[in-house]
Amino acid sequence: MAEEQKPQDDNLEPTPDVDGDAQPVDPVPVEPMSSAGADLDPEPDVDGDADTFAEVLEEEEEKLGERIPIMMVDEDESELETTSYDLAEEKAESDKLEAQADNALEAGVADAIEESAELAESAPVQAVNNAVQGFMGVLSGAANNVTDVTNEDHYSDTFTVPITGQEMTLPGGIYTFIFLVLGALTIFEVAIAEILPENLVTITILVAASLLKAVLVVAFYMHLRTDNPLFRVVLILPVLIVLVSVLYLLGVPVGEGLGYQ
Amino acid sequence: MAELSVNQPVHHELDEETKFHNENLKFAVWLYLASEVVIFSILIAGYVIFRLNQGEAANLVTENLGIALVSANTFILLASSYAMVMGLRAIEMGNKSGFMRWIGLTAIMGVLFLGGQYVEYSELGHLQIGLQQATTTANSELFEGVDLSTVENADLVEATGNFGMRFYAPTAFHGAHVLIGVLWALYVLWRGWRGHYDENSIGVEVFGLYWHFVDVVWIVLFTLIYLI
Repeated sequence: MAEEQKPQDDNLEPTPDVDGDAQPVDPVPVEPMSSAGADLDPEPDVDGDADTFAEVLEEEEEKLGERIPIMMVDEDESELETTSYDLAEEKAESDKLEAQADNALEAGVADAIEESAELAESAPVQAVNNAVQGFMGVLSGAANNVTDVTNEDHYSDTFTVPITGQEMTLPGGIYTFIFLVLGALTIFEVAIAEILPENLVTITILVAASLLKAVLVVAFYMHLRTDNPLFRVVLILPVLIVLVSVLYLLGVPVGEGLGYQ
Repeated sequence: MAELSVNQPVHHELDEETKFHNENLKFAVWLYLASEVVIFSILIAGYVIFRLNQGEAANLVTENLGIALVSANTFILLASSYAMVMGLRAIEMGNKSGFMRWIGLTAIMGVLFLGGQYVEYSELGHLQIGLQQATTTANSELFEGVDLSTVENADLVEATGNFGMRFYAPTAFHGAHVLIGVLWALYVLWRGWRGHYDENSIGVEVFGLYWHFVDVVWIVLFTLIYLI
């Protein structure tokens, strides 16, 4: 009996019987495990050969080692197989769609290029191209045209009257002549405004006279007539933009359009 | 006027680098003037739109102001432009004393213009035309003899009150330019007196561009505000 009760585990070696009155040891009752195997209901010892705690623990470990890893491995492999299959299918589908989109894009771009090439040959586009190139040419030429204002009009008392081409001599030359014209136009304007009733005709005359005066000052006193042509562009461009903007604003009906009231 | 009969120009022989610099400077001034065109155009457009919508109110004020003072002012400014260009002509011909006289005359006429504008603004203040609409009341001399009880004149006081801002914005902004021009003219005079323009008169020409532009703006304002 003492041989049968010999512990299996070296760590659980019983105290040696030194006095020779050794008594049979009752089997230790198996308590539920509190750690990893605590939730598992241990099967009863049907064969009756697991008499010690060490034996019961060993049996439980063997059972756990057999069951759980097998189940986990089976499930993971199944999932992996399914996932890899789906990914491959999706990739194939995606590649197919991508290829179709690329083909459509290429076809669209090719069509657009072809249409653009055809339009570029059309008369209106050619006209615009020529106009832009001409304008840029004028600007470029003007920018490179460094002028030296040595016009005799600026120094000589003898000058050529604009429009008529008549030769005249005045102290101060063309500048005095322009001043006299400006003065005369101002008197003319005041007379028109004071004498004639206000209507579309008088307004047109007054605006025209005013613009003529402005042009004379800009052309002769500011030397735009003989200076770099680029300066004319610099002056005319904002004037045109402002005119178009103001006319647009005046054209917007009150209470409509932009909602301005 | 003895200088005017001189018709032997002294063309300064400028090197290529100086010519290029002069051209760039003028180009820069023209670009600046282009921006001024836009600013003045906005102010003028504001007045024109008001004038189109409230013509009676605008006429009431300008008729009370009269045309004599502003016509004299216009003539002064035109004459100042002439003096300016003659000053440039004089310095380019090497006539320094003539330059000093003409540019000095330009500055004096600029001051006269500002004086005229001050008188005009004082008169407008007397007529209760201010920057704010509430400044104008039915008690203003503007409405003497005007029946404000009629349907047509129901909004006349309010509309006349709105005239102030539309009028002062472009004219006062122009007046500020004239004031700056006068100061610039004095600066040009000082530099000319010290001989800075003996060789290269681009500084005078650039000032001339500014001054003539101010003149051009007034030509447009005079017609749109006072004549139409």
